Amino acid sequence: MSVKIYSTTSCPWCNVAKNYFKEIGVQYEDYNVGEDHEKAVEMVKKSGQRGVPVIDIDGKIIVGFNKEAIDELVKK
Amino acid sequence: MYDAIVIGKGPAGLSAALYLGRDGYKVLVIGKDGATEKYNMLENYLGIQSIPGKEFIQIAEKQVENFGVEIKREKVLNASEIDDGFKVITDSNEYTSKTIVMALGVKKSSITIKDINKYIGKGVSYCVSCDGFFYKDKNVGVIGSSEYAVEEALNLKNYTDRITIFTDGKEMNISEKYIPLLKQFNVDNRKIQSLEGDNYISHIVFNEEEKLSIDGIFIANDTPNIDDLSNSLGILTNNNKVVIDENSMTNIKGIFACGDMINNFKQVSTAVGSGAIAGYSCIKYLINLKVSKEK
Repeated sequence: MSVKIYSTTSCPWCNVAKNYFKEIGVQYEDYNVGEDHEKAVEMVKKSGQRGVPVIDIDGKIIVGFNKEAIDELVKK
Repeated sequence: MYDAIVIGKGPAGLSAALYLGRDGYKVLVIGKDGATEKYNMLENYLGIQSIPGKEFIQIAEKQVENFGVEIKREKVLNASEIDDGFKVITDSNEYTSKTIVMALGVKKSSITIKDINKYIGKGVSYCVSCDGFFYKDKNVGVIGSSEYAVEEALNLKNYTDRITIFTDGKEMNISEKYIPLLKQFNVDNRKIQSLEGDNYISHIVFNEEEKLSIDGIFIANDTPNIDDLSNSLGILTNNNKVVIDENSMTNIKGIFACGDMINNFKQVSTAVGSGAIAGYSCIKYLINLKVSKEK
């Protein structure tokens, strides 16, 4: 499974999301869009959102921290 | 640094503070007069036949102050995590603590501007610390007319200097401390009719003839409610209620919640009960924190 989290350092919900993936034992790649412009553009293109976190689980996009949506995609 | 900051000085917050203060912890309660003060007569609290709400709170305040608890009549504008605890910003001071007990009461009405929800994440945001980055050097607005709006505008200055505070037809209502701070921002007092844009917000519409180009809007209406503080701390909510575990702790370690923020049956008696549980759980947490630091 491929999990990508687009985040910034000052965003509390990004930390909540990262902690949740640690808790359920799922590895993820973390992209700090505050520093990585290319990834910021990629994130907006994928999600249409100007806000973090954006989570990409095997190409499926979750905007914000949504535990139920994460659980559903991780279980699949 | 305080052992605990209790946000809200209604029955739940004061009950939590009572348990903490009585056990010798350094406690600060921050809040303005709440719903209970407005009760004409409280007649369903066991052991007290009848008492005006205001008097009930006055007695409770005196009771917790007798155990060394400090009470500040200030407005909480923001709260965030720091290395060894939390920082709470009010309209006149900044405080730090090891724990927070949230007892803010029921959610206040949020802003009602046509199409505002349509643009959330597409130009409208409730969280500068989350989304401010996307508006680097852009033309942004903060909707609000209180110290909270000025505080959010100050946070936005990390990203852009093109900031306007839109009061939505109100006059700015801020304390003396914020008057010089406000001067660095444009203030627009016009009543907002709606928001406009294709995929992303592009204009604020005041009326048929007047609209203004804008890249992003941050909402900072009135004083921060449950959702605002939850956003700035990353606290989970469900159906306008804060999600807690069996120890009244939120998903953020060291932050507890009680009172109408968690109760379905919103009564003084249930608020006092849940405040006692949160206060007791906070004490247990502080003991564990001390033990783990000593190891």
